[in-house]
Amino acid sequence: MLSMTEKELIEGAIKRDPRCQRALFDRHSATLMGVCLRYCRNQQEAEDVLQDSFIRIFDKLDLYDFKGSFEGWMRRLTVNVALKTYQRKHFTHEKSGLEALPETPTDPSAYARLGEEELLNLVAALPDGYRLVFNLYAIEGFSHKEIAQELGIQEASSRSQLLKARKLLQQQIQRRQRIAI
Amino acid sequence: MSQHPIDKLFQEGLGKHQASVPDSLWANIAADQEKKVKKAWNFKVAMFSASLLLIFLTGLFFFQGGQQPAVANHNTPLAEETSKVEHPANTLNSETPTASERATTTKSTSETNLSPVSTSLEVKNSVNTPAISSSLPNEETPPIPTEENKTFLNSQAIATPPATSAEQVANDRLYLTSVSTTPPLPEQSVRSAANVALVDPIMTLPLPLLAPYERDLPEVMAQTSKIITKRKKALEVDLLGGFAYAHQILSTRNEDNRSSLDAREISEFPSLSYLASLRFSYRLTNRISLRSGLNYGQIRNQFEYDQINNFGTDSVQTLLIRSSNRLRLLEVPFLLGFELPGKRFRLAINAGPMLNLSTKASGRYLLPNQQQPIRLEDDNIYRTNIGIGWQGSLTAAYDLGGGNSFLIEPTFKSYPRSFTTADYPLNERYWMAGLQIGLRHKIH
Repeated sequence: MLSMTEKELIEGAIKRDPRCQRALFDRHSATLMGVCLRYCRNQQEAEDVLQDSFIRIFDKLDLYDFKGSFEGWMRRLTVNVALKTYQRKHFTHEKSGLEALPETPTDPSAYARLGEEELLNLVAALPDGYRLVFNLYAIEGFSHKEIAQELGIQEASSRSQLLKARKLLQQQIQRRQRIAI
Repeated sequence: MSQHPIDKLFQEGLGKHQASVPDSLWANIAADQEKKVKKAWNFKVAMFSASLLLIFLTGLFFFQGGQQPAVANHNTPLAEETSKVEHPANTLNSETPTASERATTTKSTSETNLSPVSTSLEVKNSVNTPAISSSLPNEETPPIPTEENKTFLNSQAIATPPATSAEQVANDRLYLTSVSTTPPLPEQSVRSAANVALVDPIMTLPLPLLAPYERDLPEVMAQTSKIITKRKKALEVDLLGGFAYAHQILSTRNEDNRSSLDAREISEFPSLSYLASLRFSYRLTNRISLRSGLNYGQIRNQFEYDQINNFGTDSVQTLLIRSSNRLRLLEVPFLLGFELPGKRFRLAINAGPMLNLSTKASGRYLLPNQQQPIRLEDDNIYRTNIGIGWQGSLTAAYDLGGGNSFLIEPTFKSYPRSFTTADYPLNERYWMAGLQIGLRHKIH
């Protein structure tokens, strides 16, 4: 449920009041930057996507019907902007040579030693296609059917991309574990 | 189904991840927003200017040909009005019996002793707003304000500009806060409920006309703001203009007039006609809208005839003379629109009747066996109102952002009734097919 203050900010931002827009930006930019960093390869790309996202948010703010979480609405919009950015770069299926590699169990303690920055670096290092599918499935909670519709791919492709993403991430985590030891 | 450990790890670690944002990012966003505000402002100015132009053209259309100002025949009524002006107290007394009655009933409770004759003048002086007390209608005149709130009421009544829905609700709340501390006048509590029931929230009547002591008013205001917000989001304004082909269909009422028909058919040809529309659309559902407004149409026909000049027995000159015949139409359309949904691009099919407000013809026509043409206006052969016509159109709207859309609208209009009067030997009907382009703005 929206607080009265945020509702007034949104109404002001719909009328393009710069103070209300700035207040919304200050409140939510850090969270949305975290989303952008997961979908982009580097800081610069993430900043560009965040900028485009906020411009789009302010343009489409009149479509927000005050039902449901406002942050969730903004996150969905940001994810769409990130996806469209990569679709313009012709997202294609990528082969990484990991298809034959079996999934080996990882020591659970290895996961505990990974901080936010390390996790972010691991995701950023994924190939574009894997990263998008992994983010949408594992973190945003989309289904493979929804991912297929969003990205314009087959559902089977979404499943295989996710599998490959997991394998790559697991490989990277194991590598770090070996280095740590 | 349990979550994969890798998924769980990243979801827990990065699901709520936040990162710092450089300051320069906001500067770019703010610059973009400023550009859009300027664009929207320019668009509003353009729409306003275009609306003024349309209203001006409409006024010009109505008053073209001149109307005699009715001055000479009204000396006596003017004298009577002058006498009314000289004795405003008497006039007010005779026209506002309720003011006197009210003064009489409140006389016992008021600290001031007011005579019935001078009641309205006393009210004027006490509130320092002669314009308000003399212009309010009898039934809606508010109760005599108390000392505590009269200044606030008067300043609100005079100075409050038209407000937006959010501003109106804010103003209402501010007003309620200031007034709620004053004790209600007992004789006004019955009128209060009736006044609230009569209020039309959409018209946003000035606050002093509403009963200030109604306990349920905050609820009404909250509902009003919801209605206003909802309705405002459903209203759109379209401004369109374009060209059309008008097909003239001439027919005789009886065969004796065949020569008249021939004379006109060989001398009149279709020319480029014009269309313009200012239209408001009210969205009933996601797909269905009601559209109405003002249509201006100018049916143009090229008139040609041979002018034969005799310069003596041996010299005859024949000149082909061309001019334009015009039929100017002013109509109110009542269209039902059915929209096919889309993201940026939407299609809508509109259809419905048009009510003709005025028709005016100008130009010339040929009579059979006559060399010189006759003016259409002189013979008074065209109706000044052609009744109901029918319009169908297909609107393609492309979303430009900021609540604005670019419109392209092929349109078809049919006028079943003859443009000519019953006395004239020929029937003249038209249908028009045209293309308009324009802009749509969503009113918030």
